[in-house]
Amino acid sequence: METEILFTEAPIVPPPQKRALLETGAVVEFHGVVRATEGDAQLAGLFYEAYEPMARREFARILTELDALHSPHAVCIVHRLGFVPVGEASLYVRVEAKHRGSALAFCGALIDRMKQDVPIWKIARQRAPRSKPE
Amino acid sequence: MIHVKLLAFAQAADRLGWREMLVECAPDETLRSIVERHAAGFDFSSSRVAVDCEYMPWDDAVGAHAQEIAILPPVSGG
Repeated sequence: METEILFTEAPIVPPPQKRALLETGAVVEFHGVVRATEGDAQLAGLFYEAYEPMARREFARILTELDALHSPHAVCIVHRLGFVPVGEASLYVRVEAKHRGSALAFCGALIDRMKQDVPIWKIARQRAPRSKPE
Repeated sequence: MIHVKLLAFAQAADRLGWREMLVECAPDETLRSIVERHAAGFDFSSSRVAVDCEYMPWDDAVGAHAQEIAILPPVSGG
């Protein structure tokens, strides 16, 4: 399984697939997008913070465990950090596998496990931060 | 005695009022006791703890080779 784990403070641009595998029959992409409301609160966006070295390790551990169950060919994870405005993606996952069942199952399980163990936090922000002076 | 970096993240950092400090401790001191000394009244049930990027039980000893202890409130990525 080829893996790529990236963190970025810039808007997420999905990285190109490294190579086309003739055995790949399914490519699942997930974009987690910041909503305008959280409960009753109207948001400007979410602020994301990570303990990055541990987050990478936890993602790698989860990928290894899930690989034993679903055996995808390649997985790419991009998580945004810092302020993410409403409407923009905070998370991108791409799973390439032989069959759609394993690709969809892997993607869902990965996100569930991330929400349990990967040290990343979001904080609701009702106002966008001021941009830094040039 | 060893010197270890104590890190706090997200809501834990907000509650404690600091994000990082260098602390001195004995290798057989528990993680709970180390954090208690620097964060009186800390609610341990609200956070997990990691040593050098690995989750550990609060009542484990820090060990002789630890470099970082991280206080981790419930995660919410995605």
